[in-house]
Amino acid sequence: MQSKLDTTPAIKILSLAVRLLLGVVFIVAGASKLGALKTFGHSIALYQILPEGMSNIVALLFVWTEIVVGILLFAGAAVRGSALVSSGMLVIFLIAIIAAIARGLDIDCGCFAGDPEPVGIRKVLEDVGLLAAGIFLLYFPRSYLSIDRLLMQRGAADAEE
Amino acid sequence: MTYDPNNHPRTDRPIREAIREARAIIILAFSVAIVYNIFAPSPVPWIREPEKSTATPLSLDSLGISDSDTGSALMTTPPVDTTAEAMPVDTAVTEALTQVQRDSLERFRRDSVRLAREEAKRLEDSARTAQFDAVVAKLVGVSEIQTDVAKFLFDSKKALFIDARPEDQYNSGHIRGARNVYAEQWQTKIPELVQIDRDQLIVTYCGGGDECELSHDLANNMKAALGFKTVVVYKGGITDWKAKKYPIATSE
Repeated sequence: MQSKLDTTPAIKILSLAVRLLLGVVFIVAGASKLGALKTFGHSIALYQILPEGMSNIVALLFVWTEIVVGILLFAGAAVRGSALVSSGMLVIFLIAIIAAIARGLDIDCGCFAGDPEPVGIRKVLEDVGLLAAGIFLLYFPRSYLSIDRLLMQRGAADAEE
Repeated sequence: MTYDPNNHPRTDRPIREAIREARAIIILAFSVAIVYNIFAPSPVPWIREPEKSTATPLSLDSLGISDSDTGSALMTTPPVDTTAEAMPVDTAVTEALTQVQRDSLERFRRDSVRLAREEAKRLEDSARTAQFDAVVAKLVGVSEIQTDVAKFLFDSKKALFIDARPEDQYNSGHIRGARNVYAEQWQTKIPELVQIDRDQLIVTYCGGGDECELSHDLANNMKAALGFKTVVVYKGGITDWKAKKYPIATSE
């Protein structure tokens, strides 16, 4: 994956923008649901994919994973890993939403607490866009203003001593 | 050797590196989640209890009250004829009276009319109260009501409606006269709620339909934790209320 394309400033700037965007989306999504976990558990139950008893645990784990991944992306730390986790989550969301549409369930997607969005094509397209952003970061994780870059520079400075 | 986390010399397979990082991230996030729920002030139950009653919500028919569009027809009793003409006037008699006697007769007539009107209103009120009390008695042990019962209670002005949704949704449109207690943060409203008489009939509602369990949570908390005797959930919620174009209010 190492290529000249990886290190051009333009790509780095794009990577920064994508990273910040994805980070903010995940932080906001996770934080908004943190105050309404039971409702999110209920939203998950409505998809009728999991056994109902598991909905709360899944809600809890999802919310915190969103928050942690969002923070890491925003800070630019472990970008590849965060991009992989976020892409994985988005794939899961897409499968659930498409299944709900196919079954004709008219439910709220449960993506952001207090802002109901119906499960539908629009939501699918939004999530595909975010997934594309995640995959982009997987291939082009290096950008400016990131913790990874800070560690890299410090590593370089140490090596020079 | 420069350190490049995205191209670590130990692995020249970035995907493998990404998977390692991802594994660490997931372990971190799950640990935080578990610790959070152990120490959180209001943790979510680990195992979710399935939705309780699937019994049909209570409707007016089942209460033995005939349905009507507005429900206000239920409230009226036949009006007592209180017009002055109802009292027959014998012109021959009154002509024989003096002016003073005529005046006092007129006053008596007016007073009688007024007293009759007041008596009619008292009868109407007590009929209304009896009807209301009959309905309330049937609500004990009921958990959900339909829109017609909700409207009946609304017209009686004796039920307290509580909107269980978040504040911004409440502000953009709620049942007129309803208060706002966001179910997920109900503890913050405890100082207000304990001032309400525990015999007060409470109707909670939220968005409506199967999607909304905020109203159920709030009703359960008010009954179990605060000791309110009669709390019912209006299952149709704001959606059905708006569909019937019943009174809505907004707040800034």
